[in-house]
Amino acid sequence: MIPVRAVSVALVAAGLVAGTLSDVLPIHSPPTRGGYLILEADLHVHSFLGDGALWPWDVAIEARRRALDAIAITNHNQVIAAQIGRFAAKRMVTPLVLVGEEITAPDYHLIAIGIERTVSGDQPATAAIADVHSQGGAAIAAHPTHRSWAAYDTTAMRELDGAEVAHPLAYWQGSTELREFLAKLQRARGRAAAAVGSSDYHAFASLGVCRTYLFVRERSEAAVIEALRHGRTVAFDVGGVAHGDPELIALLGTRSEPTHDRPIIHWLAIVARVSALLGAAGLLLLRKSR
Amino acid sequence: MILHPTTAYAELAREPARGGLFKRPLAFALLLGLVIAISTSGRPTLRLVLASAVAWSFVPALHMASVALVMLTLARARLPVGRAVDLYFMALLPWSAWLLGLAAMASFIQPEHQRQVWRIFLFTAPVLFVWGKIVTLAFFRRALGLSGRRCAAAVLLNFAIVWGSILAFFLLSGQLWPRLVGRV
Repeated sequence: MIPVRAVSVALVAAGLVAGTLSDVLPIHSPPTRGGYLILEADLHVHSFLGDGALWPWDVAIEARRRALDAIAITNHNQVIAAQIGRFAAKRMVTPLVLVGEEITAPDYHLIAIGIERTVSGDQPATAAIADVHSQGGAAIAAHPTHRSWAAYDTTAMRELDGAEVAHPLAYWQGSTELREFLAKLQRARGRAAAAVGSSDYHAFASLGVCRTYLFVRERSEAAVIEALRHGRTVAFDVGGVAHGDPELIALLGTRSEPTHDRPIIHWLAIVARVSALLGAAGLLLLRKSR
Repeated sequence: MILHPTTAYAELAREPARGGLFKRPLAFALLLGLVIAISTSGRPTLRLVLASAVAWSFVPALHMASVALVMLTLARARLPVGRAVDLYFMALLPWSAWLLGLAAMASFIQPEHQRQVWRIFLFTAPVLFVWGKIVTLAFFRRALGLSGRRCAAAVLLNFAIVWGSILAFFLLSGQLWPRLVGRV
């Protein structure tokens, strides 16, 4: 009789070994065009200690796997995880980790990037934006579907630095409302607003699926905030349409291709997960042979 | 256990104790780590499995606390605590199998279509919740030998400690309430 338990344990062990061997992280070198360094960023990411699945430092490592140059950890109404993430990232070869928060109020969600202390969601959007700015940060309207539009009055629209125009919700809801909000924002500000693409990452493998191309002078937190405040960004919505300053869109050209592992690493990762999953299923569901 | 929990628990309660107090809780934490590693990075790296297992170890810890409390208040001296914890964690089998299935799906679906995984997650979780509670009920009834009323109290206590603690954390840290009352 086949020793089911021993085979299952061996499959899990083999999966762990193969998975660890396939843990090869690419090094992404951002291009320089027109005097700008073009960073790829995901500016709306959740981590553990909030409702995200991974530790803040593991989110940073996964961001590197997806060729991101910067991420903002933006848990709901707290900055602790982001501060831990930034602390850890400075000691590892990972993308820039910016301290952020998803200011979560009943009538709006606002991404604050580059802050140091929590901004309360128990205040109107205008006051929250002012608080973000007083800390030297940038304020981005998160997934601004029409249900949140009423929260942004004339002052809020003038002060907002940008809006998410590319967000995974558009895969099933379409991009129309997000595009319309960005257009309204451009008109209200009378100057460029940052077009932002973010994955609103919580779990699974969607980190970086929507991203922002930032045109910065240097690779630093301050330069990212400066680019956001001045609207020097490009984002591709889920329909592939580029949003942002036409000159920057021309400078960027086409968006980068999704990163892929080398074929051997790709297949090793597949073997690893199939082996581990089969082994774990065997341990769970099959009876011991006697 | 999954299909006939009452019979399974009646048989298991008569068997001699095997394994220690922490064997199954540790295995469950490692399973959570494995599921998270596979579903997020597409591969079970030792680093990610262990780190995620540590992060999410509060889940088995809450389950252990709930069993300990039931043993202290409702089922004193029916079974040694180690044996009760060991048997209780068998009731998490439906959840464990479901999590593995979800991880498999998430690791093979393109990131652009991850919404499908969330949809399956949301639509099947209530079924798992009810199913899990039926198995837990069988544990309280057959393994701990609780009467109908004490059984109901045990299930409520278990629910309050495991799910109530998680809800309380998100409520007290201001992360949940705006979303519950909000429209965004």
